[in-house]
Amino acid sequence: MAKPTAILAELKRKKKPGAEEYYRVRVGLATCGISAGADKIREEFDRLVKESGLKNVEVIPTGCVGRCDLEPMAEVTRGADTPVLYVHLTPEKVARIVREHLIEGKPVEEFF
Amino acid sequence: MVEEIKRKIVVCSGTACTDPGGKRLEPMLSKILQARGLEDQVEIEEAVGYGLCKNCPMIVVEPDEVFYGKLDEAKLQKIIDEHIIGGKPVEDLRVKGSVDTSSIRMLGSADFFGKQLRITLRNCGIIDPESFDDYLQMRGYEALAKVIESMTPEQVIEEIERSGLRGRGGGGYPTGLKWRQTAAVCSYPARECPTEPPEQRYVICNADEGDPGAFMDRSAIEGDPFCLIEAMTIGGYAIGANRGYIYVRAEYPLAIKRLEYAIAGARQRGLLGENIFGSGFSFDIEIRLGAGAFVCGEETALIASMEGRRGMPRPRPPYPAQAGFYDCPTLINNVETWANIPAIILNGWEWFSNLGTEKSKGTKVFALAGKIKNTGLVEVPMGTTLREIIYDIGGGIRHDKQFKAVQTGGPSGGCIPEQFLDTPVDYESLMRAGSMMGSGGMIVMDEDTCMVDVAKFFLTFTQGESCGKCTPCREGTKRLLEILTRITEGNGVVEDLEKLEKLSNHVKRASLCGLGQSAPNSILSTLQNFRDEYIAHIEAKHCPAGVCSALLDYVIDPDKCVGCTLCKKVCPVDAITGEPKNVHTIDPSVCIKCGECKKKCPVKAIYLD
Repeated sequence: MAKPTAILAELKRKKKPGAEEYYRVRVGLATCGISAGADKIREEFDRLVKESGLKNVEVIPTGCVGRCDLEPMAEVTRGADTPVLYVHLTPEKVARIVREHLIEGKPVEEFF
Repeated sequence: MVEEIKRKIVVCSGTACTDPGGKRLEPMLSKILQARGLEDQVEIEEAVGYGLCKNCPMIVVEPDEVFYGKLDEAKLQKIIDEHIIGGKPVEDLRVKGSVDTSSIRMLGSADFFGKQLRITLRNCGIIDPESFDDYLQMRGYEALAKVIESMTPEQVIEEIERSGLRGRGGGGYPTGLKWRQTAAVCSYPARECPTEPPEQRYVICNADEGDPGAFMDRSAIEGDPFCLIEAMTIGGYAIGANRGYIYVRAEYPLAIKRLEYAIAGARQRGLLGENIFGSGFSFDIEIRLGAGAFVCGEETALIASMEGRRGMPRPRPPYPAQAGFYDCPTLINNVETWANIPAIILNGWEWFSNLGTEKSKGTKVFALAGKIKNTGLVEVPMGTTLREIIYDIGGGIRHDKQFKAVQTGGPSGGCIPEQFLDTPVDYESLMRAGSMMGSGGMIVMDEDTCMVDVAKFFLTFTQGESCGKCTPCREGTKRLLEILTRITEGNGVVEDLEKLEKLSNHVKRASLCGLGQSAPNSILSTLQNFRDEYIAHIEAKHCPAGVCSALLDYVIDPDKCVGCTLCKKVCPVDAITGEPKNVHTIDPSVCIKCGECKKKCPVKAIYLD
């Protein structure tokens, strides 16, 4: 009989991690985020990523990172890049993040 | 057995690590491992930045999760010889301290995250709460696998006992002791106990978070529901239960949805239900929805509610550990308590007991709310001072106003004034400061807060939530509230203060459950620390903070009024007179103090005096 740790290792292997060069956009979607409009922000990311035909971007929901007053927020990471956390998001900000950060590869410094 | 664990070396490939030569660690490692014939036994993996960039280049030895930094070939050899082969971490090469977040770019984040230590919230905001695989990648279920594979239930209980973990719901009862007591009791009354005992025990997670201003449990579940399921399964294994229940309020629909997802995911993977990990151990979890009564957070009321009865407490003993759900031994722990369990199992009790203070180990999550700049959820090591939480992490008081008090422990706790701001956060110190740890609500109040009004607010809450079973609580809170209302309306007399104190102590001593026993705390602590405010309300009929509207009059500043007539139009009782373009006046005998005029005034000419 397989040992629990071996079974667990097998379960872990089933998920293929996404490619390193992928952008991951984690949108804070706990109650605090949603009440600040984070679900709209996620839809906006999804829509723009799809419209722009970006294949290297994953939009992922996540929980509350602790700064409920800064919601809605999203963290953009890619491989070893320094993670960038965008706060107080609006659809206009999302459009710029998608264009400048996800397409052109330049974090939107203005929003820091 | 330490030697049998297959180890993994994770090489950090964060930006900083790869720059000064992090990439070179891998070939070095392979060479050393090959030389010792260990290349098949130790796995080398790359991981993205740990954020401990000061220590580059670095590696992490798993599953021990030991961080080594500032490495070169000689140090690597030492680590492999002493840690991988010898089984003992090389202490002097270890990286100390928690994750350095200076590499995360975020508005004013350095202080916010810098003083925190995230154990129970470790995955919140990081994993996708609707992806079971995400949790598995974050060492999810490694604790359960370890427990089932290499620990006896007795060893698990001992581990929790030694860690010093105490209940995070507020009471601070030693968790390990609770587990031992639940495991030790036979579920049958002595004379009926069959010789072949099919003993029934239960595990319950108390997620009935009801304190006003508290949202720790909600956020923890919404951010990482999986951890709770894993922890409860470990609890079931330790005490010999095959069923668990999560009692969560129906007002938390997102938390419920994510819990359901986590339960389904665990069942699907054979990590919950029959024959977990093929080990013969079976355990399943169901969700029970609470209708949102505050008293149902009390464990015996919670059990009554789960059994389909009216949610009312009963006297203890017997404690749920002896006779709980359907009179069977029942282990009830709070969400945050459970969330600590997998981390303790994985890192060992020594690690946990090194965190915090002498009597309060580990960390505590607080929901920062009120007049504070950074509202949100923080997790700090026990022993952090209130000042550090409020000023360093919380960023201080909003609009740079004057700090007045901090309320901890929700309706059961008290208000702590400025002179106690350096109180370290632990169960005993907060008690000495006239409050309590509670479940983790932390409401910050500034100079504009009236402390009598605060006491009235919490009494209104507890009075409304009193279940009515015992007289001291049912009648006592009602009378206390009446006196407070009288004072805030300007009808108080000096004797009221003595009456409040006396009655408060009676209610505290005579009430059946924690609700009544702690409800007067908000009165007693404000009376003790802010007695002058009570006296101002009673003698001068004046509310120093300008909150109690009955003691204030709305006045129009004649120098500012432009005679726009807006206030006159909005006044529901025609208390305002004046001609267009001329100064208006409010008749205090007619005014009902609704405040609508003040809100409407375009030139802010209306104020409270």
